[in-house]
Amino acid sequence: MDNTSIKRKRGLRFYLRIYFKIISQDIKSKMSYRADFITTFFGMIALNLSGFIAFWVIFKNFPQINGWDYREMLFLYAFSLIALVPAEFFFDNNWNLQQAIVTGDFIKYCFKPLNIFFYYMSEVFGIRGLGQLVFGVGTLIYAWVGLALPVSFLIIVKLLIALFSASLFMIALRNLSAATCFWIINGLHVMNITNKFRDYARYPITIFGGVFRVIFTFVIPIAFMAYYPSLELLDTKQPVFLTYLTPIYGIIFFWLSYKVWMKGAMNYSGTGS
Amino acid sequence: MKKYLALIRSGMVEALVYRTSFVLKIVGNLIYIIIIYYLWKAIFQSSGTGTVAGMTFPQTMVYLVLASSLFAVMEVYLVWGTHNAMQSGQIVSQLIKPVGYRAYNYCPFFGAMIMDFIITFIPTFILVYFLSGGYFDLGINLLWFIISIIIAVNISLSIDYFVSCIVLYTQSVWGLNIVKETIVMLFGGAAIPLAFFPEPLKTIVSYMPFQAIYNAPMMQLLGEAAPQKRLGMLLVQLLWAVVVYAASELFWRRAVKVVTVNGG
Repeated sequence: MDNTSIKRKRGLRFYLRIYFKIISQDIKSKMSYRADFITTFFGMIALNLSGFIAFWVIFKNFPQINGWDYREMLFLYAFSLIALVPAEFFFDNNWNLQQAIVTGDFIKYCFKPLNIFFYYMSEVFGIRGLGQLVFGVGTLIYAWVGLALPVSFLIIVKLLIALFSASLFMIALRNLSAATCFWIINGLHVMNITNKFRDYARYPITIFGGVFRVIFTFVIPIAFMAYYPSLELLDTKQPVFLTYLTPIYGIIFFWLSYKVWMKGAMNYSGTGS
Repeated sequence: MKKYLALIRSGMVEALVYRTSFVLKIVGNLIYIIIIYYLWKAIFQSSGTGTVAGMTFPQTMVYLVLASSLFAVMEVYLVWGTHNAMQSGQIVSQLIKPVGYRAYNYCPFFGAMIMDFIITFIPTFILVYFLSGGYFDLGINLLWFIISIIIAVNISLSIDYFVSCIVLYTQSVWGLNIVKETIVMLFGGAAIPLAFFPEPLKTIVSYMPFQAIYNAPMMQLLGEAAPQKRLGMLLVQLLWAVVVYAASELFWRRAVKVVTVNGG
């Protein structure tokens, strides 16, 4: 009897309630450093702007890449930006994992009657994703109008599903690279390397040949971060089998990253202080 | 002089301790090379012509691979270091050292860069040379290239130093650091060769100090210019090195007065 009541308490509602309690503390503390908030916001805008300038410079010289013209590529670009936002918002604490492990602070997460992964991730809200979201949505609307894509209830639902699935890959890749911190000292380097991959998610996977196309599709799945899901949304492109595999593979990949992360967390033995 | 050498040595030794980070750097570099190889191959294939903005595909590849490899060598965490030193209060003990703050931080960086240069840049350089089929000359231009890199390192460090001064005021680092990084990367030419930039952006960028960090050494290596022109490019770089150094030094003298350490 008691057992079932505990189980019921641990439903989605329980976790949501806890989540908002923890996260609101983080947002409060972030708001008290206003200068940091402002510079972070503008930093993110500058980061996106420079990415956009690079993109624009390439298309000033080359009218198309592998049959993708400027507007279509812009769509891919905006899509990949938005798909990254959930990883920035909700899984940003991965960046602090190495520090937490080395200093021994991580041990505190092991002693709470909560899922370690959940508790750890809920502690930080990556406000820097906000700048990215604004920039991404603006660019997407611009590309959408430029391509004269229809606006209907169905396509918006499709877009949201596509974005959600793509974001799972971003999150999973970040979890996996952060999880390396549990086993090696320099996991932060792995994070920096994989973080650069997202810049290349905005190009069609068809540019890669042979074995690298397989690697960038299944092992380091940057192809799913924008290319495959976008095929369904663009009128001018034909979706392929992998397009429809995106949500399923996204969930599998995310689950895998969660398992690996948890395995690392379970192995953690603290620093002894 | 002895104390500076000791600091440089400490940087070299420290760099050797973190062997996994070297391996990871090399792996990361390799993946990056693969990606940009395929990307630019596709770009050039789609354009139909062999030469765009005066650059061929092999030239673009050599330029980008070496520029990004240089970026990895020159990347230092001075801005974060200053921020952390201020937060932890360690900056106080660094400020009272018998060497200046700049030298105290620079010397280990120089040491680490020397190791990085030997272990990551030179193998990349050799690899690129053979993969591109001996695309560039290995003659007197190497000397110009090396001198140019040494000046570029100083400009890069001075820019970091300048941004560190801003951090002393704002006490926030992520945003500022990312702005610095993206500007240096983009306008320096490490992301896209500056030759591709359309006018008037190209002209504007050529009057900025950032092009002296990556574009200038690359031009010394890949370009075929008369010695007078090479010397002129070097002098422009040197001028920027002096200007950025002076600006960061003046700024530091003001900024260091606002340092407030809460305990520590």
